[in-house]
Amino acid sequence: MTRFLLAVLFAFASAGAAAQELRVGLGSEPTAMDPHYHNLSPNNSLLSHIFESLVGQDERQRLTPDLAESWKAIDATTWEFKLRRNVRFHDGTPFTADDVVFSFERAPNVEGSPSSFGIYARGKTFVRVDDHTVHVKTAAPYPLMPNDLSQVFIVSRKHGQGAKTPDYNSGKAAIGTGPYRFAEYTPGNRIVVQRNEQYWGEKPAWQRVIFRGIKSDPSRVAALLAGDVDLIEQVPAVDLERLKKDPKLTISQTVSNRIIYLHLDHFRDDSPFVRAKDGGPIKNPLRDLRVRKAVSMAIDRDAIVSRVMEGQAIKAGQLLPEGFFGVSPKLRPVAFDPNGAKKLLAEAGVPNGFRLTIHSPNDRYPNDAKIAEAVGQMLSRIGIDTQVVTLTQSVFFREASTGSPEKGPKFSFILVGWGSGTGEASSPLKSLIATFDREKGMGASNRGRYSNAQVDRMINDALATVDDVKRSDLLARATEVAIEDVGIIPLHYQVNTWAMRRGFAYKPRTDEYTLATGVGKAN
Amino acid sequence: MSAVAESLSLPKAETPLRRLAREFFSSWVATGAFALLLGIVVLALFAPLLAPQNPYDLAKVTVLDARLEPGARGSAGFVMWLGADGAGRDMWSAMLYGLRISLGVGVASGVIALALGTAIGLLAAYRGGWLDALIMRLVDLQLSFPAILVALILVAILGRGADKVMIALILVQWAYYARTVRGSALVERRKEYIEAAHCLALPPRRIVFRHLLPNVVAPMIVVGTLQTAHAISLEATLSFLGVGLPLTEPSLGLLIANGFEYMLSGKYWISFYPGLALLATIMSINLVGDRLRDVLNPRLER
Amino acid sequence: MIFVIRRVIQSLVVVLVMSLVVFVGVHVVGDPVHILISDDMTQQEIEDFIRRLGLDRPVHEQYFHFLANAVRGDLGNSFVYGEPALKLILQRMPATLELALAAFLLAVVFGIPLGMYAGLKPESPASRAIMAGSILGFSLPTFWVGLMLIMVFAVMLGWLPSTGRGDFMTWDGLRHLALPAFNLALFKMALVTRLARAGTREAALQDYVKFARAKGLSPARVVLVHVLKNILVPVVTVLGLELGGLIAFSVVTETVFAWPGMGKLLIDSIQRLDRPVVVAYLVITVLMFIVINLIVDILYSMLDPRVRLKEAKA
Repeated sequence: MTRFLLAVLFAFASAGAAAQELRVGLGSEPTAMDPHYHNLSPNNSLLSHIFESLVGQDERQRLTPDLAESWKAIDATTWEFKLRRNVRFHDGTPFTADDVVFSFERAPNVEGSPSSFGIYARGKTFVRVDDHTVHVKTAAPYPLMPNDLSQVFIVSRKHGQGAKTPDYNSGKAAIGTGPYRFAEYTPGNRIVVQRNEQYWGEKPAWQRVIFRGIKSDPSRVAALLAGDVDLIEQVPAVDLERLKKDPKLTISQTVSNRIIYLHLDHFRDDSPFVRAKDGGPIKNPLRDLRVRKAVSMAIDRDAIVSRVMEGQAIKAGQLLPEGFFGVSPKLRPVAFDPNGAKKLLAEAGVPNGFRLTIHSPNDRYPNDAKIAEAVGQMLSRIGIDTQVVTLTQSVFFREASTGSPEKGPKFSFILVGWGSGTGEASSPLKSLIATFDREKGMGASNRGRYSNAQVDRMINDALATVDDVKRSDLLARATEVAIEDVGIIPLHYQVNTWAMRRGFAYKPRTDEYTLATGVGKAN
Repeated sequence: MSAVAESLSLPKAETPLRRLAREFFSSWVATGAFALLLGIVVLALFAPLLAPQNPYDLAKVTVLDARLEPGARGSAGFVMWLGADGAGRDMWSAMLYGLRISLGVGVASGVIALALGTAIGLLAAYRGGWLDALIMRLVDLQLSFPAILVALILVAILGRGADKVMIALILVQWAYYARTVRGSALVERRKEYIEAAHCLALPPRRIVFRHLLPNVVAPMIVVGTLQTAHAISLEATLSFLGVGLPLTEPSLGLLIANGFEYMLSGKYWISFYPGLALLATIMSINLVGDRLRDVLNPRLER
Repeated sequence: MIFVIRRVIQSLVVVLVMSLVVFVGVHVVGDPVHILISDDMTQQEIEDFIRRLGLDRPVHEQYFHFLANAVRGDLGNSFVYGEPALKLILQRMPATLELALAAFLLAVVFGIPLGMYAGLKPESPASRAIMAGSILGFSLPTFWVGLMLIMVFAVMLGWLPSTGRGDFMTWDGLRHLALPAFNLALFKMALVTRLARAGTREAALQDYVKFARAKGLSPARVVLVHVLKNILVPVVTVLGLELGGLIAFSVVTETVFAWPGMGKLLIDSIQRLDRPVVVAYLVITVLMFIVINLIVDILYSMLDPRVRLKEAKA
């Protein structure tokens, strides 16, 4: 009875407290409320409110204790995770090791999942030692264990057994341990979460949070300007200048873990989109290191950052910005030098340049098509007649990965981006730089088919080194060799930007997540 | 009926064309619109001579000029009176070239769709029976296809480009003409003069072209002008949705779509001037078409 | 009755052909695999996923599989959402219908009177203003107008919410509905105005109207009964086409106003090549369209007895 009264009182209190409500405009919407359905940033970001993982990532993607209080490698192939005590799911059942084991069983086996969490769960054996201890075993030493485990949400075994994705979407099974609990999910319209009053950690600031997907950039900005939402993510670069000047708004920014770069054809002597000036065939000049260097030197990164990205980017010299694990302290962005580039072209035997087509998606990264166009302009000025072709991402990525007659990469020169989910350098090295190998799962996104045995060796060594200092050093050296060999051409790191009404503050995150737990009240 | 009307109401010395011109230019609004349209066509035709920069030549355009304000001097040395767009193209040059593409795509696809649609619509109305049913189901099929899907599929198969957008626009539009023509022709067909023509045992071709066609011209012109203007705007929308023309060779529509994202940031000129040009083009086409319709409609004659 | 049955059979053929065209079309364009997967997945896992979706099989086999399920009312699961495509679409249909009907009403309620006025008094300044306005309505691209509306009424004046949808038929819901409905209606309003004006001008000169006037009928009666009836034929035909169009093409308005309807789902699904949703969407649209056409044809024969049903549609 007292509980009922309290609830009534509470209802009254919350009705009067509109200030307790936070309204967020999202640039991209999650595809499901099932935390194991789709390994995609918008999903992971939103579901972080309802669910938690053993290991957390702070706003700089450094690992922090979450549902696990501590972890350590107890021998070469076993990691031990000590679970937090006195944690309860939203329905009141206590969180134990059984839920952990269950979650990692479920994660790789979700029916119809477009990109499952199998990559993080497979090859690992989860053993329940007691209610609050879990051992994870692998066949070979595996240093990235805490990183992997930070990617998989823990669901309630009681509600998760036999539950399918629609059960989560309806809210029936969407029971987690997170700071907020599921309240409403209307696909294409909004997602509402309510404060979890029994939360084990710091009490969440907001009583109720409403997320609305507003995909169109100007519409999202307009919604903020009109006061329909309190906070928006993915602020378009073009509006930044105006929003900064607006006294009613506040901006919050940080460098992201995403690099925008160019991949060049390293593997074909006759590359389909490289032609001689007269349109005839030419031996692929991109295989010549001097030509690759020339291309990199011809690009005015400062101009791209200031004119195309309007300052919402930082020019890049390697795969991840400084401060991340495993980056090289030595590498600097290549300086703009069109005359030097022309000289190098002459040395390489193509003084007058050649014809080249750059392919780029036009709806994947901020300003992607415009960046490609700027690169086209810059290359045309050193004699490389460049044609710019931009495609919608669904077409672009298929062609770029498997569009050739041999089911390999089709294009000769592409603009793409890469965000490191794990927040350290092995992620881009493994996927973009390592030699393409289907069986081993290496070089999966190496669409230029760059291949360097020395680099491969260092990456493999790093992936088997548990010692952090040694691993960091190996990753940095692998990066240096690959970048000096111009395996890829880095352009810039994106800057993540949030805009909010004055009186709100957001702790900006490198991983692009928009979390209500990071929103506070400023004064 | 029209032939009879002509012979009765017109002085012998005046040819139909001259009469048309006289009536057309009796309205100063139509005259003004016609002059404007003529001016726009001339600008589009002579764009390479009038533009200080070839905006489609990547070596001539530099991103360093991006978003220069109107009246600023670009890095190539000439003054950009209308400013520069997000890629550093001189707005004025880009608009002249864009006008060329927009007009070309809109008019060509409109004319082809009109011819195709009219022929099919007349055929359906005149023949009737299974052919009519087949054609009308085809029309239903066509009209239920969202234009963007047709365009997306075509563009994916053929690649981006003005010709592909044109094919898509023709495919989207023909059914409108066919349906409108058929509707009007069905009504006309029931009228006495066609029945009279039948009784005279005139050959079907003669009935269709001499009697049916002139009488469906009025609704066709209404739909036709609207559709041509619509085609230009549809092309802009396709570009807005990211499936239109290649980025480096923007039409007016694409210029507006690109400028659209600058609307809230105060850089009005990037989409305002192309928007104005598009508006002027479409308005003048519509006004000319409107007047033509009044002049051509035999039933409005006195 | 036979006419209706015939029509239904013809329509089924249309749906069949349509689904085939779309199926093959989307297949040619590409598949969503490469944008659905996360970047970290290995080639092996990508291929497993392709196999699970059945995308590794030849397209005709996929199509027959689709047909076999479609007969049982199952149009397949969305690649993106993992839920039945039909369910996703039906979930969002009310929002789109609300928007389309509101726009339709706006177009008729404003378009017909304005057009008739302009047709009856073609020389008055008000008529010229109406016609200029209608031309403007055609000439402005929808997406541009949409943003202008948001700029003026939501951002600058703060009268109406910028985006999203409220609850159906509440004050809040109507406030949310106002801008997108007006945006979607603008083009149709211009079209109706012009059609009504053209029809009125023709009717006003025809003998029966002259006769009715000469007979001394009140101007109001002449206009409301004789002229209105005459202009309804073209207006109904075109609007019938346009209602289907409104529903199918609300894509742009829904995108600009973040309106949670089918159009937004469609453009998202096209961009992600979520084939089951695209195919299901088109099948439903075609069915809806055919029903609307049927109603238009029946109305047509009622309004214009010269066009007999069986002749017109056999």
